[in-house]
Amino acid sequence: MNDLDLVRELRADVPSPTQARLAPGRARLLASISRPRPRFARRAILPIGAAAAAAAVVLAIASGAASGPATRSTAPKAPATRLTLTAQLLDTAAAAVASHPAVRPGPHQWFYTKFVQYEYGQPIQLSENWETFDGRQTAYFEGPDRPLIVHTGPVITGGGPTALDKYNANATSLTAYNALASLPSSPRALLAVVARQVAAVGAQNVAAGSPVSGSSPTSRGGLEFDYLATLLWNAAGAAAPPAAEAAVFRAMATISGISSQRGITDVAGQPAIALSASGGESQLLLDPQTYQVIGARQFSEGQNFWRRVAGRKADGLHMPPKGTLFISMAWAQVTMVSGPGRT
Amino acid sequence: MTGPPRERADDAAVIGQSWHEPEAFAELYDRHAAPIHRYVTRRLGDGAADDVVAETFLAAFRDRHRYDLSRSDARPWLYGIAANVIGKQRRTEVRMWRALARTGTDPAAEGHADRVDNRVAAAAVQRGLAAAMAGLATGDRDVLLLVAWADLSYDEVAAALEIPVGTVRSRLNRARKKVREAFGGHDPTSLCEELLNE
Repeated sequence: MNDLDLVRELRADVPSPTQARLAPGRARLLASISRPRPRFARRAILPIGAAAAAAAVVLAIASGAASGPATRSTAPKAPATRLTLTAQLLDTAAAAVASHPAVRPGPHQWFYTKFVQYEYGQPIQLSENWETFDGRQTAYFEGPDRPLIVHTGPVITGGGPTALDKYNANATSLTAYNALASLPSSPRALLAVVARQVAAVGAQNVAAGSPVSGSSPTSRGGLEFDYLATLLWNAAGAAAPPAAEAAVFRAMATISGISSQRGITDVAGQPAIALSASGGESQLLLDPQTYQVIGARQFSEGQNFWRRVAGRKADGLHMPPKGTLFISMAWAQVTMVSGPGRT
Repeated sequence: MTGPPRERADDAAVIGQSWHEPEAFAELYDRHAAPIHRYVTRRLGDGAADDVVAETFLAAFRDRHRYDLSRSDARPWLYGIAANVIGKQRRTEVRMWRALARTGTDPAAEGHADRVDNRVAAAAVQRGLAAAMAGLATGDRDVLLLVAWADLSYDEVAAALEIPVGTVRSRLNRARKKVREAFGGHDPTSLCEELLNE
């Protein structure tokens, strides 16, 4: 027996946990899996497509949607709208959201969300979830005719000491609401705050946290857009402070490389306007009437993606052709409700 | 120290599947949660293990797209994530080792050790080891315990902690040296036997 063996025997009488002991952790994992929102730290990096052959993706939306989702197989080759028009659109959006009543929900207020998600090569998935504004409690049905699972997590605070901790903590509806509300109203000052945050958090971490972008932005404008889109996205499952949301739209109008696309239909069959800082490859989707964030989608970059992220390992990894709709997500419904399981 | 069976050629397949079928990830929990829970319990005590394990798998799920699918065994990756989560509570861990060193009573054993270990000698060895553990740098302790408790190979520890294999070796050497020094440079085995034979 040597020193390593002694270490091996240390606390060796700790038993293996029972299945019952592990069950709550499993339930938490399942709750997280069923929760659709790719919140912080989730760059939706592209699953390997089964085959690159499919040139057109035929989307069969779950029954109930009035009209079909976007079935286009190619992304716009260039920003569909000139910059000035995008600036006008964002100005309109800012005015529209600023006119919404400011209602700050209580921390324990429940929200019901119906979320539709499509990933390339997969059937469209519809999920329904309940969550409190502070994100502490989540609820979902494990399946049809199954009981409602309600999970209560730890109190979510402002995060740890580092800028990244704080950034990651802006992931619940409440913390995203507060982060938005703390932004200055002038576009220049707002983007200066974002620039400082991006520098403190690290560009890679911002990219990783963005639900909108499929890959790391390479430009300052792309990073600014990702940062702000993530805050809007994280707040979109409940409520955003109208004045701050308007300020974000006005700031977005000044981001270099911002573009928009009108007249599209999202994966839930809803009409939408798209905003992008990547030439349309990754888009944040707004409702054309209310200008609320209703979804996001990404188009394939083709094999370039793998070459960039995997380098020499790219051999054997297949992406669908450039421009193929790759990920599309939409909030079909977000409603303040009286409790979990209610709609 | 029964390491989980090694025929895990398909962890990568499960994770790859979870990229487009997220619920497939639950399989990874079913495979690995128990040994990781035990590992965490040994480091932080019974009270912290449930949350640390849950947090580990939630983080792993969120990070699943970054998993290197050429690695068939996900244990190094999961233990690496667990090490990060455990690292957030390193003060708690050190406090517990110190308490064990000082009093001979292991706070980490609360909840499972309802029998009183009457082998005082073993307790004395434990106290020496605990003092050594408390004195290790977190990174050194991670390496030592991943080798000794999680049965990871040097290569696997390197992958788990994202450090070069050479660093694994040097950290392990340093940690083991400190463990031996805790026994005054004696071969701790002989001390153990001496005490046991008293």
